Amino acid sequence: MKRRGKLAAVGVIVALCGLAVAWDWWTHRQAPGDAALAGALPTAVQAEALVPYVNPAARYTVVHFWATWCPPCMVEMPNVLAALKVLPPEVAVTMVSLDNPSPSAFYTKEQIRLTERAESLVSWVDDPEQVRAKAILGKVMLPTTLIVDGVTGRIVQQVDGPLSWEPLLGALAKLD
Amino acid sequence: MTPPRYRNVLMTLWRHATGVPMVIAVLLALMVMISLGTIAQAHMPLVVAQQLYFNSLVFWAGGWLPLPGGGLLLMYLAFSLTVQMVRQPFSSSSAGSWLTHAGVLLLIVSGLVANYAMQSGYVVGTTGVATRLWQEEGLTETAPPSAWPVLGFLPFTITVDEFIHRDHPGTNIPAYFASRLTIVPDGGQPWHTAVRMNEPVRLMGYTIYQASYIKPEQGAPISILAVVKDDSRLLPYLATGVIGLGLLMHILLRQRRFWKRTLAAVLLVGAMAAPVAQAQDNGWTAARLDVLAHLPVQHQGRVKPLLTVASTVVPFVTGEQAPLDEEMALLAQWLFNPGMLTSTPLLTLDGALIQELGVAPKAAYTVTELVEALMPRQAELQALEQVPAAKLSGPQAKLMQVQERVEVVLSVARTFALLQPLMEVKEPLAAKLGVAEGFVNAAQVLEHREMLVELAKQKDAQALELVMQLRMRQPEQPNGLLRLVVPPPQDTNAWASPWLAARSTLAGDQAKAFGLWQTLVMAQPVVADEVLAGLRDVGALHTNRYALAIEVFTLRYPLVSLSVLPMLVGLLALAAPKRWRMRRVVTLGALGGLALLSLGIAARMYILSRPPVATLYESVIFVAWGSVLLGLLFRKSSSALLPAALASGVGLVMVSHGLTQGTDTMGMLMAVLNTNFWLATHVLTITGGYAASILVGGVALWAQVQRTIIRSGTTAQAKTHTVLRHLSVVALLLVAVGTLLGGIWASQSWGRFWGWDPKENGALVLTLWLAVCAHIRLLKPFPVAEWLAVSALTPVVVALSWFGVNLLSVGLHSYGFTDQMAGGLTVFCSAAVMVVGSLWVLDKVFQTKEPQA
Repeated sequence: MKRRGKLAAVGVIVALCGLAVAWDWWTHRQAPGDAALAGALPTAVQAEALVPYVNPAARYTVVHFWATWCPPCMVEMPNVLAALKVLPPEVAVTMVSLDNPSPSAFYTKEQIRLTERAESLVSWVDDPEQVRAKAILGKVMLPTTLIVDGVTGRIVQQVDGPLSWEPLLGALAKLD
Repeated sequence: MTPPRYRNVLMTLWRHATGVPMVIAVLLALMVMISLGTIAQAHMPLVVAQQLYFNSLVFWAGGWLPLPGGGLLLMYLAFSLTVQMVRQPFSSSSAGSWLTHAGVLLLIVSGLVANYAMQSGYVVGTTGVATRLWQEEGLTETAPPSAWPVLGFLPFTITVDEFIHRDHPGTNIPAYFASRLTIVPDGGQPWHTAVRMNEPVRLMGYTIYQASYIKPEQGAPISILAVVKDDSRLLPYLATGVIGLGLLMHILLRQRRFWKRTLAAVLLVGAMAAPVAQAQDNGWTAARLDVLAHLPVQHQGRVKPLLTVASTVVPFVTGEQAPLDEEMALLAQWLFNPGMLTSTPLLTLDGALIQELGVAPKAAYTVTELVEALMPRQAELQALEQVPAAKLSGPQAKLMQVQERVEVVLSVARTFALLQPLMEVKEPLAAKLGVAEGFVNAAQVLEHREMLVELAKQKDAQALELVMQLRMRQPEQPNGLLRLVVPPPQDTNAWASPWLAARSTLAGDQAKAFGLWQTLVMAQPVVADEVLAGLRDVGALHTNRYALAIEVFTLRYPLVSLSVLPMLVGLLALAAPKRWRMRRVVTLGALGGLALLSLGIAARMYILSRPPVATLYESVIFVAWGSVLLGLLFRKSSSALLPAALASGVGLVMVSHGLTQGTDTMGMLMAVLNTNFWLATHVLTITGGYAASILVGGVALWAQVQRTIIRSGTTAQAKTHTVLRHLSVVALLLVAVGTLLGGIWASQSWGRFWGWDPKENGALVLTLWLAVCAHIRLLKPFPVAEWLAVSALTPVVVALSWFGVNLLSVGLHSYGFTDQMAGGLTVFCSAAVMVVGSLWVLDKVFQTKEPQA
């Protein structure tokens, strides 16, 4: 008798759990299921301007706009360089400098030594007249970073302002 | 097979591991660990304290002594609860207890599951920017939100279309904030929705809460949304339900007679909460001041009678308490005759400040004297303004306070500066300004300022003087301290100060009220009576006239503080010899006190239209009310109950009086507290639990006295013990359920059920303490002396978890931080421990001398 009572009590609790879960599912079922990761579709102008910046070998390309005359960019730079050394293989990075003239002196001075693997994933590009930058971003505010899906060509995320690079690249590597 | 000798050892071990003494020891250890972790939060971040004390398996005390950590203790509790559930018979009498234990087990398990199943982060919502970054919260001071570390990418983008936030008018206390969002799931349709405090949005297994906001130096505020993915979020809700049900069944099935009375008490509490769900010498006679005292004004975000302003602002400025009528007269002087501030010495300073400021020692100083004394210190004062209040040294804080007092009194004096007569204007200037010949004020000529400047350039002597006079009033520095002009119909919260009103276009009642104030200021004593009557009538259209009258009444006759008198009479009557037959006086005293407290609380509820438990002050008077009510209801069960209730009532009302000297106790609430539902359920339950816990202490103390000093008969003792047993279960029910309801509220508005916040920990420690009280009785042989001593110490735990955590000044429950009572708390706790301890020692001595059968 006592045993049955205990079983009944456990049964009631379990039934309540089930009921609550079902109720929760029912009231929030309007949410769509797991669809493929998409992101904003770039406009034709954006897409065209992005073509040379996107690395077809990588799953995602991070396009980072910076300049030596932009103080927050230079504050962020050591953080970027450290993250580039441990770049996950799925992610490529394109560093777009908007300096005029080109800051190639900066690259040499900083003596960026990357491993051979990372070298193929990281490219340094100059856009002194800000032609492509304006086509892609519209209004240019530095630093700005775009994450582009290499397969679909969609812009997954745009971030205005400095970033914590290592966690960001880690999260990208884990994405699907 | 294990050899029999080892089996015996194993059996002994098992018995010890699952025995009651071990459970009690673990509960006590958990209390200690939680208390240590809470105190540690004062000097380390919450996350670190949580890892070190609450989640850890081993805690290294001093770096070398291994102690069981919070995680290990909780695991042991889960183990022992499982054993208990298998062992305990499930009969009608024990079903409640069984269910309670099952609920606690479920709760611990859900905490464990949440560690793995829950992930929480933030979304930085810049207006108009789509984002799917899920970030950890960083420090806004050191890193811009874009640099907060990324946890991952959400399967949808969130765009904050609009961030709405409103402060209580005239303050920096957020009253409400919300975000309108567009959420686009991958491959789905855009969804337009909104999140507010206490109202999250759920989709795809994520819950999105409005957490906070950042005001950048330039640009629009950034909305911070908490995004939590928690597959186990229903478990704690269920556990709460099971625990509540179990404790209720325990009381219902085991203690029927007791239950009936408790039901009566609960109904009474419910009935109280239910309606909520929705200047003489210059013409200022006493009668006129009385009308003025009743006029509504919006000050610090709340519409209140002017008398309330007088009762808080005047003592703050002068540094001295005075009779209310004098304070009102003084406020009227400051408002209508500000010149007196330069001539009449009013502001008192203490000895240290007199020395610090280097002024000649006097009883009181004029404002001018203080301004002159503060002038050379301006650079220092400006630097101090940047320092957080908690970090100021004693003399620095005092210096800042003098500065603040001067600023407040000058603000009050400037209230009508635009309305006071500037000078007499004659034709032809009067015609140009569109006014009649005679005195004009700044408000009348403000819009003609440019024309006046032009005229002054053309050497118009009158215009020149008017421009000079106008400049002295500094019309570009607005003053919004006292908002005396009624609001426009479209926004009933937008009361205007005379400054704001003078600079905007008014219509309807607003224009009328402003006109009346203008007449009053320009021609004070002549027409005062009619004008004041007019102002009263206009004000009555926009406020609840009864609420204002009640507030003025409670200021003049502070019901809550007055309730001490009948209760003190009752306590004195207790001390009288038995043959005087004073029992009735005791009951009457308690009844009188209860009536006054009820009236006082009801008045507050009516004025503020919310449950009376949102601030520390309110919770103190509510607990006083609750304990006196319980004491009266159960006075026949034990002779100790009513005295204990009276003593706690008197003590708490006195504490509340000390807490609020010279402040407006009806302040506005932080946004998260702005919900009557949770105030009514969580806070009423938990404060009711505090009241019951204090009574537990009183009754236990009485039982100790009975055993050791009076040495009353066994029947009398047994009667007291029964009451104590029942009362502690009720206290446990209220405190436990109240704490868990708090968890649910937190889960609704902050996105997590439990966050190891000091106030939460305080309530948890009290719950554990009451659980210890309940479990000591299971020990064999039953240690009566220890049980009584532990129960008698309950009020100490209540005091520490209720007031003590406020002293830490950390955490989310920042509604009642105060450090003036640290001394009182220490005295109370040490006195209580000493009394209870010595009674316990006495008890032990008697027991060894004459062992009981």
